[in-house]
Amino acid sequence: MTDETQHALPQGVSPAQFEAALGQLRALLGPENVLTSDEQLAPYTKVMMSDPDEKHMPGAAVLATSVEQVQGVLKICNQFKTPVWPISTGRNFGYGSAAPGTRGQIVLDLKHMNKIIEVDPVLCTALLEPGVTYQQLWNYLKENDIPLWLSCPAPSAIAGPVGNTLDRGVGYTPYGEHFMMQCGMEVVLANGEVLRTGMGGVEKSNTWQAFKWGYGPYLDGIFTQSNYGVVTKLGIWLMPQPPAYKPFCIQYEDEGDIDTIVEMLRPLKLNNIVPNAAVIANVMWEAAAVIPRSKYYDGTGTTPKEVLEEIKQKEGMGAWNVYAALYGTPEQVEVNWNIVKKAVEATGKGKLITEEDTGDREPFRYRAQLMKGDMTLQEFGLYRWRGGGGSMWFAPVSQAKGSETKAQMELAQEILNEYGLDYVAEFIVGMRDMHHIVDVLFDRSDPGETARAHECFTKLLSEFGKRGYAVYRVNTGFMEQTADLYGKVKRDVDQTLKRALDPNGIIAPGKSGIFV
Amino acid sequence: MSRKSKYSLLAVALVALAACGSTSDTTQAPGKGKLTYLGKESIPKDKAEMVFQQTCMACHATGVGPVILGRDLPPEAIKLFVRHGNRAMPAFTEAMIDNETLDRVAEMVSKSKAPATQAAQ
Repeated sequence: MTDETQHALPQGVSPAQFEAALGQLRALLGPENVLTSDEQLAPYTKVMMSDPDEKHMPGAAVLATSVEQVQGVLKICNQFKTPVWPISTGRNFGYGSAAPGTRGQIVLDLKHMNKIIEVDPVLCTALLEPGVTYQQLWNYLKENDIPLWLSCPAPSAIAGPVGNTLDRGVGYTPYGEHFMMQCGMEVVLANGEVLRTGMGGVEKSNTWQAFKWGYGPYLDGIFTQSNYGVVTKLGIWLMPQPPAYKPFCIQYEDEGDIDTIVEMLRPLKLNNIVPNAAVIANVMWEAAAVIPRSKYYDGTGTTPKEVLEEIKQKEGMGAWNVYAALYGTPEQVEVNWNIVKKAVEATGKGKLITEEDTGDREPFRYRAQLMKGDMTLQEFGLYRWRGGGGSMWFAPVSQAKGSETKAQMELAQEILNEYGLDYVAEFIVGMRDMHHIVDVLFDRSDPGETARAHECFTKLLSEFGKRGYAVYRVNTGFMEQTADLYGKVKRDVDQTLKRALDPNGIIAPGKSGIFV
Repeated sequence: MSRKSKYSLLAVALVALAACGSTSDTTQAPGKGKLTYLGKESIPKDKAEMVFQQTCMACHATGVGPVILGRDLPPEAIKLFVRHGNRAMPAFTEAMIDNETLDRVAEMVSKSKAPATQAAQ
């Protein structure tokens, strides 16, 4: 295969230095595992955000299959000062996908490290390598008749638990806060040492996946959304399959009902009546999962309110659509269902929908699948709402108070509409917080719309920031701006840790705004 | 194949797929009763079949992505779509789908017949 690539080079790295590093990497991994041609790198360059491709062009991609190889890669990168951008499955769509945070970094692709090392059906735990996908783990559990459920994000089948958990992603089951359900990790440090967190450092320990905290400072958190090491194993907790499962939807007619919905849901969540990471999806999110916008509106710019009203009427959707579920024994589910019904009745509005009403109809079906950790890619329908392959997740955290969610909704709408974009949104219900998730969708093949989306996203971050709202996660084009929202002291501490653990700054420079 | 001819092929295939479009309404007929969930019987044993069923068809048989079955799409064009992605479609690396498996998947899609439900649309 001819090498058609003029390598994208990392800042401060000469072509000769880069070539020398590639030579060493070929010797370590085999030439077939060092990818440099345009054809080989193409899948690593596809991004959905508004940044130009060139800004995130990898210099190469390398495939490691063992901890020893990861150690070797980091040794070479330290020697030649060439940075690597580790990915597990690289399916972080709308957050940067597989492309590095800055130009020229070598993608360290861990997809081939895909062993399901252990599933303990008694303690309901799993120990996984980074390349394991949710689909792979789901298949394994089914094939081995292990009655445990996963919690997965919407791109379930092709994404993986290690990457999602390390980016502090969420799912939709009672185990939906994924980092909370993580237990123990193995990390290759920049100096080549291998750290096992929690109980993992204790010789002969059998509680690595059973007890999160270990002894002394709890370290797992610093290896999430960070660039302090390369995680090569991760423990997670799995949910025992309950005897009874009851997914349901509650539709509310008016946009302003978000206040009422949140006030109704919070006590149910805090008291564990609704134990899962429920969602409150607006009409555009609900519709986008199943139809393109063009079915009702061929124009450009923000979808008019009268069109949204038409969609609500004809597609049978609410302005807000709550998806939640009950889990437990049939008796428990019956008791909790009566509590839910009374809570909804007390709001004086809201229409309850169950599977008896809908059968296999979408979007109820895919929501029911997600809330039990089944595989579905139905929500990728969001990407064809406007078409053109542009997507950036704007994900500010909100208090779980109706007035706060309403204020955030109004602010987001105002800014998105100013740029002719749509408020395609859902709130993911936490105990005391809401992940307010807005998919900023745009036609990436249209330079004008892409530029507007970029400006819009910048303004969303800054205007929300002025009011004390910040995102919990962001795409690689906006990590610096987001890090600034969290304050100088936080940035200084992040950098101090980086300098201590990775003094040459060779692991994912720029991740979460952290440079050496 | 030169890079120029590859992209020409991709452009032709893009036009073909755009003409097919995606189904305008993916909602199934309103049904009453119980939801059905997949079990282990849904898991293909063959690697290419697994990619086809659990990845390709997860979007292209649910109305999320354009219809690809029964369209006589050239295998080379299918492989380009998979490696490059197309607009909203993700790109798939060799580490995710190796070349040998992709060859077989592309053949399967290329030689597929339109399913009855698709033909009725």
